[in-house]
Amino acid sequence: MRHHFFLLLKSLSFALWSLRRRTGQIVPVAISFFLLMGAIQLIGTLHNVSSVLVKQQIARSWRGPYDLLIRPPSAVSEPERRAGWVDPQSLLETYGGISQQQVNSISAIAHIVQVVPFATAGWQVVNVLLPVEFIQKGVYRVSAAWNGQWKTGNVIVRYVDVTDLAHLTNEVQLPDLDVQHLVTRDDTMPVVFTMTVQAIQAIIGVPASQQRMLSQALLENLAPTPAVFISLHVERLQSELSSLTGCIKQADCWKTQQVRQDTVSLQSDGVQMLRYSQTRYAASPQQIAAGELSIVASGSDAQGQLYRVLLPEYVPIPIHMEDSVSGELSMHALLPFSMPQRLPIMTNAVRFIPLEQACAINGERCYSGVYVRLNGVERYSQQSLDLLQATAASIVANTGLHVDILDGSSLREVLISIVDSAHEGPIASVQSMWRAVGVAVQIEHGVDGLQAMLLAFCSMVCLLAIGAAGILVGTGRRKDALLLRQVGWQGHVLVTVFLFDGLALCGPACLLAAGWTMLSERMWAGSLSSLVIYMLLVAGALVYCCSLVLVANAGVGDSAEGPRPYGLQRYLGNGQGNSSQARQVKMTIEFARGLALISAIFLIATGYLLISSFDRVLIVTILGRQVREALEGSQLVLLLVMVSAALLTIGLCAKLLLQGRREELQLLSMVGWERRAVMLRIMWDNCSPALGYGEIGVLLAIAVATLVAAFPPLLMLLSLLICGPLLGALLAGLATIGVAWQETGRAFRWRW
Amino acid sequence: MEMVVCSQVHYSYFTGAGEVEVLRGLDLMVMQGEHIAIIGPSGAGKTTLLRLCAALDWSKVGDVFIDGGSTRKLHGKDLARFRREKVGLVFQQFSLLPMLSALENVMLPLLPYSSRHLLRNRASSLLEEVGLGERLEHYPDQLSGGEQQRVAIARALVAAPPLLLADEPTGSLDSVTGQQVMTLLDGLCQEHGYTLVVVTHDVGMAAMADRIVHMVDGSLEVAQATCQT
Repeated sequence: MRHHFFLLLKSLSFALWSLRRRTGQIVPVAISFFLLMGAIQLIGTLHNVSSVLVKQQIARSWRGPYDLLIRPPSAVSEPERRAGWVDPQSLLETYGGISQQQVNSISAIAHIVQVVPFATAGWQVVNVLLPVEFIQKGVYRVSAAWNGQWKTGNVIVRYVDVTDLAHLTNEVQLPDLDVQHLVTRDDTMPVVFTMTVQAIQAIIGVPASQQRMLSQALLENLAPTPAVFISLHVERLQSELSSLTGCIKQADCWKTQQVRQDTVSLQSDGVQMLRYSQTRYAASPQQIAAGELSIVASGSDAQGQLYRVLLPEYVPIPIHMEDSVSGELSMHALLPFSMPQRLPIMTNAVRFIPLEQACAINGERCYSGVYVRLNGVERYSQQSLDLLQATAASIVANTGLHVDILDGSSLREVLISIVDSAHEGPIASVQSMWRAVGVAVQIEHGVDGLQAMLLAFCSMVCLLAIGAAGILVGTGRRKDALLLRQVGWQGHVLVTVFLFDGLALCGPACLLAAGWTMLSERMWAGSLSSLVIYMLLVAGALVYCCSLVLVANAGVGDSAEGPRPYGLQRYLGNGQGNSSQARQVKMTIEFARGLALISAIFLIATGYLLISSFDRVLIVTILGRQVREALEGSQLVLLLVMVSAALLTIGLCAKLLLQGRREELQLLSMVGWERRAVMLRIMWDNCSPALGYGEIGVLLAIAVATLVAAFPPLLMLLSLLICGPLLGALLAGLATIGVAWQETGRAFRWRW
Repeated sequence: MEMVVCSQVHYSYFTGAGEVEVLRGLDLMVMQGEHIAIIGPSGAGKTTLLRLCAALDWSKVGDVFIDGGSTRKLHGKDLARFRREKVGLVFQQFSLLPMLSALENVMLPLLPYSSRHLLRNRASSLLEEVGLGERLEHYPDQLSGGEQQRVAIARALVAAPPLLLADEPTGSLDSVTGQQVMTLLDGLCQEHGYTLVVVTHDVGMAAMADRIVHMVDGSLEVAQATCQT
């Protein structure tokens, strides 16, 4: 025991003694430790900043007029359930489903201060009246198309015969054609023909007191479609009415007419409202991740696929309704009649009526949805989230209805493809705005996860840098180890000596780093616990000491001859020496460099994939975009820290590798290589493996991304597979060029 | 015609103990195709003289002319070209790169500057000339010391330099192998008309030279012709 203590003491004193004239070696160690501490603290600080920024952004858009949306389970499509989305269309296509009893049950739940039901009653047909002036008698063809879509086949055509009474009574009958006759008295011209085109609008019942708030909530999600307009085209038949049947498909029978079009007016039509089936959506997980949906056709008719079919029930319009509709709508509030049957395009063609009136139409389970407002969720906090989740769970338990938490949700763009089974691929696609729920929580968790991963890998890269510093010092002490072994020192004594040597070298750096950590903790609060920081510090010291001891002692055990040259000197000597240790050292350095490069590329690729995935899932939302804008600065700094740490590590490793190649460089210089050629050789030697390391880093990142989220899109995959190796080579090149210049400078001044 | 002319060459360097004068006004002339041996005790300045001839270093005073040109004026590309084309170096420790085969080691000097195919042919024929035609793809650690030195000789000759400088070429070899290597070197130089300057401690090896130069304390002591031509 005493002997061991004595040995330890002697080893310590020798380690301290051998530090003389080597104090400069403390500097690279200190730099490595400060790099570790700095990176960790920077990540902690940036995480704090990011966290505050995220919370600020979320707080700004945390709450809308209502906190929960309750819908009948049948109104929620499968993609909505899987993606946590709210389809604005579903709010207009669900004709009841929630009873007054269920609403009462919801009202009874604690913290609920307001329960606002609404009822979608149906769709009302509206006639658009288009007055056209004819200045002379004749047969006219008036064609109308919505939004200038003349080629879609949805052109409405009317044939008008402007004539006098005498001609009308003598006129031939055209049984296959619907021709309207305009009779002029005393040949008075011009005459006005009012063309009628049908359009529709949705009818929703809301409580009078909540009409404004509800219309805001209901229409918020609706994609602003371009203003609907109708275009007219008028042609005059160049012959008699009797030839009309034969001239319908002959263009030369007709002559285009410039006509004056009067003001367009609207008129409600019919006495019953239409009820369509719900739009059916389909999406694979990949499509959901990319924000894409397909519409499944419900049936077909003579014109092709039907995406929403008319339900068998026709609901009579309550009295007074048509009066309120007539003349009050603007063109912007209209939807082409044929569109809702086939396309899910929503416009603001919505009309609100009293809730009681809608319930008179819908019957007992009259409510299509219920909005709920709570107390105690005013601010974004864990308590608010818990309360919202508990209330939602309680509603589901009490009523069996589907509940979406609107707080912390955000709108996102969704691309809807309309697929015709007869065609390959989509026949049309529309952009729509859907509400993604739980965005705030996902963003916060996403940012936390990103920071944690960055911390882990940045720590790894920094530990590698510390290890490289240890190898650097250890390589320099191999000669000492050989000598000590030859003068009779035992292996375990050497290990103890170099362990103390390592501790003595990294001790000041550790103390300074610990002091700095304590000081910085007082100055600003970090998000990382002190325990994590100190554990990393201890890990750094261990890595440093172990790498130093291992490298310094590598292969000195069996040395019985005089001091042998070390490093690549052995290779450059007679070539018969035991080169396995030198090769081992070289491989260790190469491994550390490879690991640093792989980590750096992995981090960059993972960051790119995560941010892209973040983009696909969250940043596509309005809130996500706001958060990203707020985080851009701090994320960029983080990336720079990480890349700097990787560059430093790679640079250190490159220095070590080049130190081992000094004799080779000197030889090249002596046999007449130019410095440029030597530089190119070094750069190629360093950058070519980096291509492989880059590819490995990228493949690892893709594997992790596939396991954690989803397989990245093909284009992104290809770009990563191509750019990863190039980036690896670039990083290796950047880290090596300075060291290579320094080493070649040394080689070109070499002396025998 | 003179291949090497050293004119009043002085060379010194500084250590902690002060200035160490290595060469003191050395004058030397080596004719084209001549084989000279430089012998002398350690620290006499033999290797320094060789380094100056190879333009690996420069004298403080005086000048070294190789093939009529001053080494003092050489810089950058010209210096690299000089080292590549004018001189071939053979070292005591062979200085072969372990990761390259014998053939690649021979190709090394001209690797960035010549067509790989031509260079390969040239290196192969040189290796055959030194008796290693069967060991082209062997790595240095698969060759004996004598074979490694032959590879080093082939490498020194790859650019067909008019001047061959050998620093203790047999120092790491046993006497028999050393003799063989020296004979080979001498034979190749005679065959191709190269000028050979050998630094050696071994008087036996030196005896093969046309002329032996004794160096003591940085200057030439005696010049002795060993063979009558």
